[in-house]
Amino acid sequence: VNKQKALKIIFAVWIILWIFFLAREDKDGQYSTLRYLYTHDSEEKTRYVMGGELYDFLISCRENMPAGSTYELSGFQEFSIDEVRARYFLWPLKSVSEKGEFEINYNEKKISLKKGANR
Amino acid sequence: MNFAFSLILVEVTGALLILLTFAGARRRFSAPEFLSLSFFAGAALAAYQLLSYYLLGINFDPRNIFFAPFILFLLFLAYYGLGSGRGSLGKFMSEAGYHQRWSLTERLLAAGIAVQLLWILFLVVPMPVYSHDAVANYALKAKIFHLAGGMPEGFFTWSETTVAHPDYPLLLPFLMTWIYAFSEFNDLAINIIMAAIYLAFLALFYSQLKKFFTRAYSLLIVFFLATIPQLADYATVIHADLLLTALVTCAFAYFLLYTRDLERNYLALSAILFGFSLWTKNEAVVFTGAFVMAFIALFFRIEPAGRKRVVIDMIILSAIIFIIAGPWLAVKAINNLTNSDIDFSLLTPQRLLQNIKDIPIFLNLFQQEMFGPKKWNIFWIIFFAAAIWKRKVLWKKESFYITLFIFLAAAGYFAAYMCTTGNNLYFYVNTTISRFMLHFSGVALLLLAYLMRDEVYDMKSFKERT
Repeated sequence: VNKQKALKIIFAVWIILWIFFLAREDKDGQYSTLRYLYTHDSEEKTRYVMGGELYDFLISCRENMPAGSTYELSGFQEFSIDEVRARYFLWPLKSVSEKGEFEINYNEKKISLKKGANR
Repeated sequence: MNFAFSLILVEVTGALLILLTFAGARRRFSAPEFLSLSFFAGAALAAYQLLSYYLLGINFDPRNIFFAPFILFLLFLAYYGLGSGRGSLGKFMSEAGYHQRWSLTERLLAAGIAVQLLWILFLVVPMPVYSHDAVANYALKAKIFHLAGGMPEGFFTWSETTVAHPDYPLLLPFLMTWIYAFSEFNDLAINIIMAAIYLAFLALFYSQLKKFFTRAYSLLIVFFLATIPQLADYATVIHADLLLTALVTCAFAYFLLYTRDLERNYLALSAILFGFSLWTKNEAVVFTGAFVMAFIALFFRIEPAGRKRVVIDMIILSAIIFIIAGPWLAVKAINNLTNSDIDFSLLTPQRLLQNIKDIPIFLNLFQQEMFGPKKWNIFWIIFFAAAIWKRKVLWKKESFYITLFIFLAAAGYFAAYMCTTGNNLYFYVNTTISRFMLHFSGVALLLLAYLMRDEVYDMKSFKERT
């Protein structure tokens, strides 16, 4: 009987924690995020998830680089979420570690043609 | 709509593959088992096909990709419509026998699983690809392959500045590429494949558990699995860890079924799923190694009369794993792909000593995971408490193989931590331990199910036995 009581308590604790962590408004603002995403189009969704500042800057970068270009990124913390999102978003423009045709500096919000690049 | 078609095509292709692979085998599948196995087989075939196309220089064009399902369909027609399999399709599935009504407990557990699944869908449907490993690795690779119509030249030599870990196995990016080929690039809808993987995992695990336990108890175990927060979280992001967990757990459960009466179909399924896991994440090497050791242990534990059969089965098992994983492992070897985090040429005695000195850091992070309810609820607390309480039966009967498997795989992971060279140990443990514990969660739950069976069966709601 004691074993059964213990099992029932374990199960009850599991259920309580499950519901709590399932439904709570977590640190990322689960419900406000979802409300926004469900009510906006795909472009706005991407902008919201990435952050407006980064998204708008990357849009301008994409518009200023011809197809097939390579670029070097700076101004990001190395391998930070913003940096890898930038690489993903800009593909098929290719991020390289050296000899890129363009230089993108996120701190200064600047994109420039590198010296010696043939564009 | 096109996305749904792509997903269904993965399922149908996998179903054709399963029907052809097990044609003639006296093996019946339940509906959840067949449908979930078909999904995993379809996903693996997509990866196998695209890697073959890369090697043969064939473009990842929808028409080229459709070639594989089309050929499988012709083979299916030839065998089941005209050949020796004519009329045998019905025998492939379990007969719909007498169905006992679901008790209130069973219905509540099923409802709980359904709520969790619907919640996951609610989260993934509006969400673009956003998580770190998705945009740095898996989703980026799929985007690269899709937009290039294949794997670009020199892909495996690209630096981390361009794409993260070109050496990682490609099952997930290839599956996404395969889906994109029929649905166009859509990194909003693609998240749904993770919910599909989650569902397939639960369905396959449930169908396996039902071969060991009662329906109510199987549902209870699947409910626990489904509602582990970490597992549910990984069903909302494009990471390969959930897929690896699913493949390793189900592969080992099939092995456990094999140990009962040495039925080769179970062993074949186990080997196939372990083979798929090697296409999914590098960590699968550790689990496959632990599996082979568990198989060798089986050889010593069974009656001497059965050992000859086990040796033959060992050869069959090795052949299946080799045939499935061989192409990917060959590509890795030819391209000299190495792990950037474990470089044995950089593993000096000083570095090894430093890693050993940092073991308390590892233990501290491990206990934080174990006792933290946010990711694990009280799963690991229950698991370790049950393991201590039932320590006398840990190494008996079927529990022996699960305990050995967990112990060897955990030892392998620990050894890998000790051999890390790229960054300090804190960095590696801090960024990986929760996902590594996820890899063990399914098998650990299987052991927990064995350990607690008698106590739970004594409860009124779980009394009925199979």
